[in-house]
Amino acid sequence: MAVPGVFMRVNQPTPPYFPPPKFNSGGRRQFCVKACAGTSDGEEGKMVIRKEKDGWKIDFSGEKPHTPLLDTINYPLHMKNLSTKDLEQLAAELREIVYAVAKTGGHLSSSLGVVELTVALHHVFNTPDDKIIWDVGHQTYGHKILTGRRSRMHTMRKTSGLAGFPKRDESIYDAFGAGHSSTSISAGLGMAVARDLLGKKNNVVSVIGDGAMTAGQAYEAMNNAGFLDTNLIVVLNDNKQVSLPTATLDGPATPVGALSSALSKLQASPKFRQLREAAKSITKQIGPQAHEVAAKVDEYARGMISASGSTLFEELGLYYIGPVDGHNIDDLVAIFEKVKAMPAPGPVLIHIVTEKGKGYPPAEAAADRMHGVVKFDPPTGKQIKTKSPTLSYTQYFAESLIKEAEADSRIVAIHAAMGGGTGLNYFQKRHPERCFDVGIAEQHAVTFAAGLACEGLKPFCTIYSSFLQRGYDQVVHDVDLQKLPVRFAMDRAGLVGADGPTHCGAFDVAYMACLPNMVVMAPSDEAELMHMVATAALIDDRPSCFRFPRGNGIGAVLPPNNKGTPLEERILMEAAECDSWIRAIVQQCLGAAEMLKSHNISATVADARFCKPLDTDLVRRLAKEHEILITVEEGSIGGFGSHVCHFLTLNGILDGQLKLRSMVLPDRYIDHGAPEDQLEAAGLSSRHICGTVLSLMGRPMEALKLQ
Amino acid sequence: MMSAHLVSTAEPTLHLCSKSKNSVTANVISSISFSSQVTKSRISVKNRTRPGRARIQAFYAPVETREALYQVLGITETGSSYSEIKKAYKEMARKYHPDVSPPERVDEYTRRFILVHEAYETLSNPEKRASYDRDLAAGSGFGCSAGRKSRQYHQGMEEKREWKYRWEVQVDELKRRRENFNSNSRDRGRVSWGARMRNQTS
Repeated sequence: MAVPGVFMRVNQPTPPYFPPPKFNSGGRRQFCVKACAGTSDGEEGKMVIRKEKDGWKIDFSGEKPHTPLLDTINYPLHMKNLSTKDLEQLAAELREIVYAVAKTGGHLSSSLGVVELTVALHHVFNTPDDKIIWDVGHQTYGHKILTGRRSRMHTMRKTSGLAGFPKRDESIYDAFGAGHSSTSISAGLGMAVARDLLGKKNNVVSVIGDGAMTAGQAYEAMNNAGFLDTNLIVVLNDNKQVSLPTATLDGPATPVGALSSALSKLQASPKFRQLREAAKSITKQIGPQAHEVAAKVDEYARGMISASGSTLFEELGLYYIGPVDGHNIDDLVAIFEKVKAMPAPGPVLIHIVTEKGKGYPPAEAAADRMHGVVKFDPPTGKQIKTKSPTLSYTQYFAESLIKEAEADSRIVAIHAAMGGGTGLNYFQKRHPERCFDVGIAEQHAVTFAAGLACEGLKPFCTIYSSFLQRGYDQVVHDVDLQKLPVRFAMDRAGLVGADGPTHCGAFDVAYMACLPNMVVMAPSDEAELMHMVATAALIDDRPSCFRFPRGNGIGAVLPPNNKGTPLEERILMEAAECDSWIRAIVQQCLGAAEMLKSHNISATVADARFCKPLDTDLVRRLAKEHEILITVEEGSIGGFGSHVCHFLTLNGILDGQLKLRSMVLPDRYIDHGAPEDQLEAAGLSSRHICGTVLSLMGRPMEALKLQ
Repeated sequence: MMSAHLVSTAEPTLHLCSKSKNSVTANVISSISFSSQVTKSRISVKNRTRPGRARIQAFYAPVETREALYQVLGITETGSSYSEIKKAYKEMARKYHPDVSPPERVDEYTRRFILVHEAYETLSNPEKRASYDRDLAAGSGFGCSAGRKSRQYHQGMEEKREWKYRWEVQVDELKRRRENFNSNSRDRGRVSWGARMRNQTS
């Protein structure tokens, strides 16, 4: 497959080539230096980016290809003088994203799909003065490469490295931080209005995808944009996926909801040209004063036979342009230039159609298009998955939910476009009519679950802890206030590693446990998780929730047949002196207890499965029998520790000899990185717990010496 | 009375569609238009997929042949499920199979049978069906038999050309609209916030 010694010079004539200097209106001379693919024919087949009839072909089978043009681009300013041909070559070279992600893992195909869009936007607009806001942000790998972070791409998603999403702290070219979806139009509108109020003249471009369009906030923003009529460009990047991740277990997910069919109708071209021809011939016959008539016919024609979805955007007040081939740089640049040149276009929506993973054949062929990947092998696309003896918590959850659903036909599962992330793809396979994917619409998911619960079903609303923040009012008002038995399964609770603070589930204990009717549980291992699923299935008179972390199980013995049994509190380790209450980071506490043993301190480790209702007998007993009480949780202030503290103070237990300390996540956002590093940064590792105990016992020097 | 024709275009590719004399193609657009666009050039080609069968004549037909493959099977364009298509195919196949056709109409029935089979192959495959539906909407009169890569590529290019034409018109329209907008803003009653801000700064 590799073809040694064959490469093509992409620039004619022979290098070095200095075109005549260009003069802009300011009279400043500019010249550009064109980079050439190779200096002589003697080079062995390193040049593997070729232009063929139907596009650029990149050969991924060998080493990372040379990228002569990309090497000259450090900032978008360096792209201004490139011709269309150069831009196309740049786009082909920019697909070195494949090699970068192959080494670090991360999101792959979203960035590949928008390479041409990224190049076109940076060529036409003058960032950072012009603002480009990327929705969600996992498609910005190309953007980061072009905006001065190419040398750091190998640190993507690692501790102290580049974030996987745009981050204002990281670069001035990242106009708005993202991570949760559907926020780009709102933010863009805010920036556009601010620009108008301040009298500035820059452009604002919001890029949003078809999946993010399923969230209500996008429509709220478009509605407002249409009303305000400020100059704003919205680029709708339609890759026909409209669900996340883009596959069920068996193959690509069929698009979710009615919106996708509207979008696909938009892409079907009507017999537009024919009518226009007719109109032209009529105009010719009527004569020169037919300008008005022709304009009317044009408008009429557009309204009559324009694809039936564009009226949705028109009604909201955005001018619709499209569909446009999102991989044709010529077209993209032309449109952006024209719209930019107009003095007062108002809000404009440009609908581009792209293919997710374009340019990398293994991604194009994969069922989920290689949306999120771990390290992989570039020639084949095969991911290098580390073998683990245990499955992830997500999988254990899915297994136990399936078993519960087999026993009880009223159990249904709801998720918000995260079938793979929540494990409900497995549930979907086994019980297809009882699994509901509502699109990226957490608010709707919660109230939808409430409606199901009203009629006697048992809904399991499975939403990531940080995404449930979006539906919080619905949890309070629609579920908790009415005491409806909706079960919330909050995956990715606590620190989540490489995704960083945007996906971190730090607040769920705080915001769930303060609700009057909610039952709040947290498992310490996978067996506990299964028991909690069973417990939640049984709680039928009030809402309940349980939160579990990202990661793999510890290897606990699973209940038979993956079916859990309902729970009560339990003590893991008995001891005399002090005591720790644990939540999801039970393993850290067990580790701390071991370390304390070596310092001659015996510790009791208790697994607090229920934050609410608190097992008050156990708390009382432990407080009576021990000198020191420490609560540890991977959550923010206001959670489990606060509830224990509140209880103890109200019952006078803190008036005596007991020393109480709460260990929680610090009052700041922990950056992305490896999970162990995050735990260290948060101060919740075994070492820290042990150190806290030692300090309390008056042995601070030993605490300082801990490794 | 149905008759079968092959439709071809500038590219040397083969397509099938059927044309009913009594078709009620209530297609407003084509009725107002431009019969000048209908050109008929007859080309005789051999059916590439089935060598040895009778030669079939080809010509370029206008868009009245919209209901082509769907009409062949006797089903509606939208909302036909896979099982309905299959049922229709079986019926038609039984009716027009050469073995059961009356001897004097063997040729006609054979052609019909080929058509039915092509229609089933295209419409039962969701991808091909979607592509066929798109082409119908594009008004190019394609009927799809087994897809070939180059033909799909050309269809894709044709579609992209349509898109490009369309958005060029839209951009011009935007420019025209917004140029008139400011001068006519009083006619529209409310002056938008954005327009007010622009008037202040300019």
